[in-house]
Amino acid sequence: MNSNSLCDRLRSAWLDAAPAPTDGAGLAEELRAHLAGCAACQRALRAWPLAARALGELPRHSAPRELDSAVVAAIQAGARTDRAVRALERLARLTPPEQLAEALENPASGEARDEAAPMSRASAPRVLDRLVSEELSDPAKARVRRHVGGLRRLSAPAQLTTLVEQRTRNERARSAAAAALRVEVRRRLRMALGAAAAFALVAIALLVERPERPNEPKQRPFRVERASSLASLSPMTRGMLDNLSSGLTQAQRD
Amino acid sequence: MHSDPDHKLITACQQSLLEGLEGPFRELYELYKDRVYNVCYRITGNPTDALDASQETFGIVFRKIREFRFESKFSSWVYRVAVNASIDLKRRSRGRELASLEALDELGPESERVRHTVADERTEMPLRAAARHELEAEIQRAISRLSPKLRGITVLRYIESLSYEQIAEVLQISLGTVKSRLARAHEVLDRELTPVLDRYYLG
Repeated sequence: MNSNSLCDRLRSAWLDAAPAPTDGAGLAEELRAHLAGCAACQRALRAWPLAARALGELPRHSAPRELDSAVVAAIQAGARTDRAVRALERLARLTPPEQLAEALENPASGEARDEAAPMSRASAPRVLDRLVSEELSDPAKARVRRHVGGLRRLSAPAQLTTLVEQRTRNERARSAAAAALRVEVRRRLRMALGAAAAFALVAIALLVERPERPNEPKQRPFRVERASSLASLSPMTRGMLDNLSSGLTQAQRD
Repeated sequence: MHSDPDHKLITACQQSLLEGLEGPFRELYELYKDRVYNVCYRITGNPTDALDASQETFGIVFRKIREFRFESKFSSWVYRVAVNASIDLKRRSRGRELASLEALDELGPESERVRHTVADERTEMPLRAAARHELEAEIQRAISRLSPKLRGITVLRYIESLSYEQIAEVLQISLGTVKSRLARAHEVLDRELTPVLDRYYLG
């Protein structure tokens, strides 16, 4: 017999005889011999009675007073459940109405069946079909929808009104400023276009009205003057440009 | 069929229309409430869970007492319900942290509501009482580290002092299983408790 099996037998024998002496007195000769040579069993037989004693000496507690009311509550809850179960059982035991048996035996047309059907049973709402198919196809999604649908509706806090008012005021001011800027840009663009158009007309008129003289050496009808800024132009040229641009060049110089 | 010491009381419960915690059921409850509470307390490890498990136990006993056929001792059945209710409750609340005895101490005056009076503490010297308290906490911690099956068997054997035969009846297992589980419980308990017990008992 191997040592482990003897260990098990020794411990089982001690449990049988507990509280038993830890020196193995009262054990079979074979087990006492094993005990003499097995340090693990010696340790176990020293420790087990101590643990058993410590567990046995644990203080006993009285059930707290709250237990009475808790048990009464449990009994009442149980009674309610029992009543509900009994009611359901009674329903399950009801015999089907005769019309149903007849309808099952002689299946008639849909209309005839409708006429024969008892009117006391409410029909399931149509939405049930959709809900059930949602539940079957994607239970997680259906569950989320049920829970989300049942969430409490909250009232907007008063602070929201103030914030929205402030925001709309800012938006109004910003759009008014943008509109003013657009008007100004358009005005300046019109002025510049007008000036350019006038300049082009004068130039064309000068070209057209000048008579050709065959013997006269060819002269340019206008003088090209290069300047890096308006200020460096001659006063005459500046005056002419001011007239042509309806004052735009003058405004820029100022 | 067992000759049950509570036979008359149980029959009275079965024959009367039980409407609540009154009459014969009240007597039965008074007989068992401390035993049930202690089993639940030692298996769950804290008074709150013990109260819940005890409540559930008596709720089940009330609902099912008419179906009891005396095929086992009534006490065995009640113990079985209590052990199972406690183990189920522990399984359900596994995520929750156990309210240890130290945690109760930290509650201060509130702990008085749930603390149980240990009769002999009143006459003990404060130091001795503190050492006993510490020992109880260590033992309870060691019990809590056992698996639910081993915990139930340890409580029934050493705290409720049930015989192996009774434990086998309560847990509906064989005598051999009772003993092998108890030996396994000892292995764990000894590992946890030997240093503590040596210090306490041997000085």
